[in-house]
Amino acid sequence: MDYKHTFWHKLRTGHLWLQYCPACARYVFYPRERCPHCWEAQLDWQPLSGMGRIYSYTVVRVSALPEFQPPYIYALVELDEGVRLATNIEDCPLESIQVGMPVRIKMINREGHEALPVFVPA
Amino acid sequence: MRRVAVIGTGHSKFCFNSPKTSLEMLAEVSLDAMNEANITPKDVQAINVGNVLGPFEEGQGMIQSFFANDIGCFNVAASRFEGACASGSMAVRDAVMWVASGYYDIMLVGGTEKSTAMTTGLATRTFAMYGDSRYEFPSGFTFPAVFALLAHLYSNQYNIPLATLKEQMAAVSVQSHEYAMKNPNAQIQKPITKEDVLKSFMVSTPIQLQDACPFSDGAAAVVIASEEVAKKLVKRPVYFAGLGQASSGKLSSQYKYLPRIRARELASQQSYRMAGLTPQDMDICELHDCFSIAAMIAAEGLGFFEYGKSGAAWEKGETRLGGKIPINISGGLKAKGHPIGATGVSQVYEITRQLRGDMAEQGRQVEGAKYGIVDTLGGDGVLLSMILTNQ
Repeated sequence: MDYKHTFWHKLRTGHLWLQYCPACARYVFYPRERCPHCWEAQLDWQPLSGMGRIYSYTVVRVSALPEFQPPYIYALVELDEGVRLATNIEDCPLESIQVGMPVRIKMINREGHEALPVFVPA
Repeated sequence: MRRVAVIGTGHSKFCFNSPKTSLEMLAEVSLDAMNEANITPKDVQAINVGNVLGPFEEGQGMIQSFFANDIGCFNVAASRFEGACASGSMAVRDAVMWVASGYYDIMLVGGTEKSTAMTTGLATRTFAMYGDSRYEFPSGFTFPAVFALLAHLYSNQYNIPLATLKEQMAAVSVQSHEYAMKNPNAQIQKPITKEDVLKSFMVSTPIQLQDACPFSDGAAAVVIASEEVAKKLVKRPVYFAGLGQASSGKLSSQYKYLPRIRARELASQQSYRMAGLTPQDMDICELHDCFSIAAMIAAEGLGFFEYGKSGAAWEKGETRLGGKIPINISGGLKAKGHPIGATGVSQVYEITRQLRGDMAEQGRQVEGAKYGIVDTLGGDGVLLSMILTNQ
């Protein structure tokens, strides 16, 4: 199955969809062939709440990547459903960010991605 | 399996903007290693090379076969290893297994890189290729950002105020600069103070410029041989006692252990088990300090300090010559430099020379060292561990 394509395509609905394992009732990120927890082969795609907390973060002050203009916040967000993903935090004063802060998803349009999931303070 | 030894070593000066090509640097250090091993190119049965970004740096892929011919090892099997910053260590470990198995008796292993041939923009982009391109790069993945995330997590999980952690991180950099001044091969030959570190510009909070290793050019090489051959050729062979390698997935999917790097713990446990030794038996360590926080996490993963305690150990001097476990007495990646494809081979060079007692004249010998350990981290996910001994 074309996991990467499916992941990015489903984001265009405005929601984050991830694989869900009906056998062990857990979400799976990143998308892949089998459930990493119980090795179940039949995984569904399910929409998530889009709510979570900042697991860790950094304010990138210097970057030579032309796609990203510093400062920007690069973070790992732990979703309420128990999975973590690498993302950006937006609409957040740089000095107020901290580990554990509640966040919710926001879909943005960035070059190369029609719908890219970022997070904002909840 | 047969015992396998390092019988010859070579190391270039690590630097910014070398006038030499990757191949020229590698050829030079390989000839040094062969001379020390008392062999000629016709004795080399196979070659392993660590080289990461050659195609981007100099428009040169497949460096290994041209290298083999450049140094007169005509037509032998030559293989290139790519595991980001652990490429050189992968090349060494693989060669040890070939010789241990009896397939070859003598192999040459080299690593070379010319990172500074790239513009900063291209270097940042190509280094980011060693994170996940599908789900992490679209958010602006950089390696400073990864270790910055781990630093915040470290502060949070171990309940160390960020200001205290920053001082501990600075102590790591200060020590590395101090020892690099005694290492003629080191790229950075100037002392820094805690204040210098804390005043340097912010790269990715909380990581500042002086928490990070530089971009580097350089090469290193070792000749390895079976014990029987080694004893005929040299007086002081240094043996591989333990080997380990493990892999991890992208950072966001490393669930239970962060800021610990579980694959490092598994790789080092493999090598301790194979050697029949423990962390307490180690007399010296070269570990992967691409960032100061990375050094602290590594020292804990290798079993030298309790989780959350290694920063205090650096501050107390437990990682210095004469301390509990001397770490990165070469100056480490931070100040010796980090030509990524060469780094693992350079670490093996350092431990070998320490175990031969060669570092006295540079004023950085660990007296009576019997066992040393190498730790290398490639990208998010290639972890290598090797234990060497003169016993």
